[in-house]
Amino acid sequence: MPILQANSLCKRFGSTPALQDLSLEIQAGSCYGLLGPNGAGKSTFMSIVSGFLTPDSGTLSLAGKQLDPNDTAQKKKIGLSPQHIALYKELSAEQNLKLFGKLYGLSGKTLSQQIEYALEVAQLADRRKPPVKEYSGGMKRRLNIAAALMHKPQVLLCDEPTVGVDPQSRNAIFDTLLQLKSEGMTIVYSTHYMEEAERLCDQIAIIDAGTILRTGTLDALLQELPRSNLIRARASQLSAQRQADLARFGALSRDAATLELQTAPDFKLSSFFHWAEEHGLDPTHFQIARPTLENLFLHLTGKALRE
Amino acid sequence: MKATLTLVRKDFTLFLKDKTAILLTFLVPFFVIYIVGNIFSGAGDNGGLSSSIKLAVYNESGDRNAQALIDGLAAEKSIELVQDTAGPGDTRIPFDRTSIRQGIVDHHYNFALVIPENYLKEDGIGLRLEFLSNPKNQIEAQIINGLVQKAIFTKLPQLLSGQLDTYQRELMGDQKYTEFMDGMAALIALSYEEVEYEDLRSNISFAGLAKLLSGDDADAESANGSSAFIEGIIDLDEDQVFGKELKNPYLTRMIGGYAIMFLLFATTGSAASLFEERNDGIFLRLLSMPVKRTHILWSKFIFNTLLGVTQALTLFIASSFLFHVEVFPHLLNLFVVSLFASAACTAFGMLLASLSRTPQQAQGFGTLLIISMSAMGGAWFPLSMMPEPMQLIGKFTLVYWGVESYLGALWEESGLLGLIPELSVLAGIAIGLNLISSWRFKTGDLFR
Repeated sequence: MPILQANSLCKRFGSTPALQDLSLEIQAGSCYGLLGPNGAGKSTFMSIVSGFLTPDSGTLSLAGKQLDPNDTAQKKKIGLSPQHIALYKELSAEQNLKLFGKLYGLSGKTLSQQIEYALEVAQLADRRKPPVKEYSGGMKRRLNIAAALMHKPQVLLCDEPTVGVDPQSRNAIFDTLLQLKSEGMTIVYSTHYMEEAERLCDQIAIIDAGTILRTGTLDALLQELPRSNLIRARASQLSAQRQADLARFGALSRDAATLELQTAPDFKLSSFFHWAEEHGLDPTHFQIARPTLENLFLHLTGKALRE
Repeated sequence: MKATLTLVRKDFTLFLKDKTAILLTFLVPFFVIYIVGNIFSGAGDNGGLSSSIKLAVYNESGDRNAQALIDGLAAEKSIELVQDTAGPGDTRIPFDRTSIRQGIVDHHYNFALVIPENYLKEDGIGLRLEFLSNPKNQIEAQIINGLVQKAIFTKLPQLLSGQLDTYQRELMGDQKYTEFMDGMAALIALSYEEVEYEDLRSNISFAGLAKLLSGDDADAESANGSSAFIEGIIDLDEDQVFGKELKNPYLTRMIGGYAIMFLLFATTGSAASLFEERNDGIFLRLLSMPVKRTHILWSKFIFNTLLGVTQALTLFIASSFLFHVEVFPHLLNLFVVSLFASAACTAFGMLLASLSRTPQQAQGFGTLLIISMSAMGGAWFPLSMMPEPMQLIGKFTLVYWGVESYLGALWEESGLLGLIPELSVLAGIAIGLNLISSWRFKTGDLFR
């Protein structure tokens, strides 16, 4: 049974549709990626699941039970890390966590333990006292996630948690999320960075204009693309004759520095390397690129993911 | 310089994109001049008032001559004369000394004139009148004092008619008095052919001459001109019903109005804080927890109300230490009034937040409404200086009831029981505004 199930969710803001007939199923213990550009409806979906917004129509269930924004027990099963740094910036990390913990009904020793746990997760145990406004962007982001873990939720909603953070903090966030996933937590992760979805998510939904275009595992989604590889080479390393020869393997395009070969359906990699060896070309001159979600998004919508 | 001009152009561009800001830019000055203009446009011909001040009058003497003074007061456009009080059922009964004073205590009017039984001095020429007042608004008190004195001076000859003749007869002796009057009558009859000597002689008196000299329709200037002469013969016994013993009456009267304005501006700031929390995603996080909108709104309401009480009490206590306003004897009452006033002002701030889409809108509407309410609610000018419709509107503002509550606590030194009507209205305003805001928060933009 899926832990989170949406059926035909619709939400409009005035005349602008934010979600249109959105349906999905998220399995317990998985990491589910919502991949789409800004304005695709990812945050609206998160806001509905967290109880901030009410859908105009459609249903949403948590562990088989209709999600009710007024059901405290259900709310305690969900943790939200919003897209904004939703923290009180004048308060310290510890004070923020204490406040949010109390609002989740924690107290006494449990509260203290959870504060320590969240500080460890955020890697801020030694920076617990300064006000949040003095933190770096990465520290704030980590605390933003940790605050959603105070009550040990079953489902963690992460709405673009790596916006504006440095690579080190991004990796720290990934490590944290992978650790949580390994502990059995379900993670719903929205992003417009395909490499994040590829790295973290078991299931991915590609969303645009409030509608889910495709959903599945990464491999299954990539199967949607025409079966072709992309081979790149530096133009300076191939003579004009060899460049012309390449056209036999597929469609060739080039700019000043790079040649790109979109291979034909009957392309065989072994034939290509044989041809390269015959003509004394070093195989390391060629880069073979795997199709990406970016390609898939472009294929499905005709537009880039981050335009 | 080019960079400065570019930045100025940017500010204009941003300004022109904000339709509400544009609207308020013109509405605020329009409203201010509308209100101030309504108050002061009648200043030249109506004693500074756009409508009238209530003045209760009781003629204890029953003397016919004293009626001239009452007629004179009734002729003043700026005075609304009250000559009786409510009796059993729907009846009206004439005042007596007790009921005319009680009318001030019960806030039916703030000023009363009593013409006592022995209003004419027995030991010489002169009048003795009693003036009861609750000068809780100094401008109003000064105006009514001026109007009453003007009426007294204008009608003085008639008031003193019998007394003047008696006094002159005693002074001059019967024979000389008769000869003087004969001579005056003959002189006038010679000068004015249409006047018959016999008619004139039978009516002429010293008081009549004085009346002729001052003129029955004497304007304020001539009345004031003769005031130096007349002042010595008028005893106006003033009985200040409220605020007589206060050390700093002027500040005591004004401080309530400023406290209310202060609270209103502070709570407008609190409305902006709601938007800040929304924009920071705090509401989104809180509402994903076992927290409801009502929890957020109530927490804001309670916090801002208590903050307002603290600020208002600080203001009053500071006024006590710095300017000797008598605060400490009324501290409990001030706390209660501040609690109700702050609750009403906070509810106003919440309403602003619920009706606005941006903090800038809330700020703009707040400024407009606070200025309008302060002007019409009596924080700047007495209500009596405004036209009747504006007075009526003023009584629907929380500023009016806040000012009245503070005046009740500090100026009139009312107990909590005496403040119940004002406090009830403030509580009603707080509840009403909160109900509207709650409804608006369900459908408005703050939680979207």
